Amino acid sequence: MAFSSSPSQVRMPLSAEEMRAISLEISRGFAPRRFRAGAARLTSTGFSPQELLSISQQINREFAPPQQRAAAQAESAKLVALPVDPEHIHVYWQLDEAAQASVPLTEPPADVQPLTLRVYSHPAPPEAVPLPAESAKTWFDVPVAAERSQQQITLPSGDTCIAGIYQVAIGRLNAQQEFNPLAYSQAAAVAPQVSPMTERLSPAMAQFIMLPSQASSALAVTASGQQN
Amino acid sequence: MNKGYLSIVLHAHLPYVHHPEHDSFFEENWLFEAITECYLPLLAMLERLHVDQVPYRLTLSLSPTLMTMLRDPLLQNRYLHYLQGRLELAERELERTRGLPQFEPLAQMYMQWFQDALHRYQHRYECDLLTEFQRHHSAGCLELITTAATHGFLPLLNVSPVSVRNQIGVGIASFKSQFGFAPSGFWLPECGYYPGLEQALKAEGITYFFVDSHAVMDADQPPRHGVYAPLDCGNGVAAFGRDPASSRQVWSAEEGYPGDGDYREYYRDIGFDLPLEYIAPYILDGETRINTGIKYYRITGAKQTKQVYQPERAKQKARQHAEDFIVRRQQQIDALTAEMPQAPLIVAPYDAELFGHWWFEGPLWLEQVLRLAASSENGIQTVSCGDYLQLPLQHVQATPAASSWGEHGYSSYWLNESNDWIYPLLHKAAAEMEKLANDLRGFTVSDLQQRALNQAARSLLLAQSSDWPFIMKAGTTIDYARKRITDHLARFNYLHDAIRKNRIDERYLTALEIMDDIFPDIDFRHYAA
Repeated sequence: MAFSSSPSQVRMPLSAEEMRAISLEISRGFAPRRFRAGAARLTSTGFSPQELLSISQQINREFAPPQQRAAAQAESAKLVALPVDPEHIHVYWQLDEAAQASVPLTEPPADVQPLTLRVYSHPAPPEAVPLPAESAKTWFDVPVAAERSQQQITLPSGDTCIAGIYQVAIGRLNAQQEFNPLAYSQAAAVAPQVSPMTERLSPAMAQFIMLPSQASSALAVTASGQQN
Repeated sequence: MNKGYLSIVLHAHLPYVHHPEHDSFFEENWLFEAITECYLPLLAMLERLHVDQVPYRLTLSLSPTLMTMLRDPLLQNRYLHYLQGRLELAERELERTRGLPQFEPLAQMYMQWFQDALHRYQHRYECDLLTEFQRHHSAGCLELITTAATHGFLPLLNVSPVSVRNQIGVGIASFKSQFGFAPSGFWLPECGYYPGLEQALKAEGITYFFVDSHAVMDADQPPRHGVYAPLDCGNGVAAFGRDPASSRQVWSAEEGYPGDGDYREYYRDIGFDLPLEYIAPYILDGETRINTGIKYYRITGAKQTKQVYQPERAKQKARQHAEDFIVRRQQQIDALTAEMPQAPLIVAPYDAELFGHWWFEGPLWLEQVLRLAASSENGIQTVSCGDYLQLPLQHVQATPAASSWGEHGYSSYWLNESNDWIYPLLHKAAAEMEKLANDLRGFTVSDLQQRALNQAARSLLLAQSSDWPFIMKAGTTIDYARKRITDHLARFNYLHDAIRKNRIDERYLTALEIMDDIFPDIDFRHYAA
């Protein structure tokens, strides 16, 4: 007998809503709940909260990353640049032990030049950022001020164009003011410093749009004190 | 007649707080408070709109960490215990306020509130809120989207594109495993965007995301329609900009609705107001005062003695504020329509936890906004951004500017002297994870090794959450944030060491799997370049 001719094919009328409800009910009751695996493991493995805590504490004691020494553990020199906002780049570095050891803490020995950060600005995003040639790029120097291998660099006002690309090098200036780099950062794209587009909108549209500096300060804290 | 579109987006997120290694854990209250004050009221609102057949569209972004916690049996059980504790306190408050005409009705309100929460959570929803949200999605009213796996702030993880790819990919996979379908939209954590991010989103099938206003206004091409139409990022993925005007009305401390004197005061909680000997059983360790959720005062006014909360007065004010919001959107749409060849779209995204937790009357306000918008006389149609993209419109092609919706508009809230120490550690761990995956490419690994590798990926993802540097800057629960970062990195280091030395202790691994029980389908191989 063909199934299509079976009298059992007479269907009970169900609305779309009823079918959705049935579908959800079945889903709720019978769908595989992988997220329940944790509870199953909790009982089947027989861990007590105290045992879990003990393991967590032991791992933390033995393997927690040393915060201040992380930078000195680098196998090779490394410099990372992170764009913060249109006026700032944050850099951190990891130098090999020899270079790190010569970081002057107070007064550097006469024959050791202090570390310097050289910031190169690229006026437009290149396809691939090459290592900057001293003569071809615009740059400025910032003395390393921190003992903790991290530093925020303030970009000169008006220095950048829209979506400026920066690259940073860390190194030393010799007596002839020649820069000897130890590491280069990756390219970091910095947001534009101004909001010129607002000025190009019609007044009818611009009235609803604030400049980013206004927006952020106004929206930073809600009535309840929640920051956003 | 429809003259303009309004897209209201709620972003619901909490960091993964799951501590089976403790019998109870204070920070898990973040989830419990949010369920009671935000998610249950939101679902109640959706139900009322459904019963009244109000046509509306609302977008809800659910973070993978929140979804995981909402379906975690341990946390579900602990939430029931939490509610029972609140009910006990509400009962004691009924006794304490008996005969006090200003306070007794409020105590009764809280009693009813917690009873209703318990009934709906336990019996009506069977502890499964996600299924209820999905019901409204299936009914065509709610668009569900998601965000990055652990809400990592992507502009500062971008040193490793593989990290960004996994934050996005694992987040979307987590959403799919919970709901059975893929999201079309993506909430960038903290609206953190950098040029090029749209490529990673497209690779995961995402068609739109949200940015703050200045990302659109400072795009590399002039945005002819301001933030009132999306940008096509050049690869078919659309960027929708936040409307500053409607954001300001809700977020701003000075001008925002939630600061009105008639609304309930968040900061006057009986956990802080009542004598310690009375409140001790309901606070932390019987000694440290915390919020209980029972609050008897209204905001009142600056430098005025706080007055007792009047719920009816607050409800009336919420309705007035909803009307004001709609009127202002109408005025905005009228002004914009004259300047645009197409109907303008106003995108109004908010943190979901604002509604009900910080702003007690927020869900009522939102419900009223949706009811008013549904009236055809208003000329406003609520849409999701996914709906809007179905319209036959050409969008300006441009790349948004790097930005976030945080203080000052960029990355400084997540990278400053309070939290900069975490980035070398996070980047180092990410590089080691990638190296592990690359080194093992083409090799067969044992089940135990695979479990350890996957758990290492979970530890890395959990360390990358934007919540930890946020808390360090905000100065709220700094010790906890520091501990969480340190714990997750320690767990990663432990697993990395064990894998490299091929000395994996299954007992320890299982303990870590229980404590960080998230992303069951994760595959460490996705960390290979």
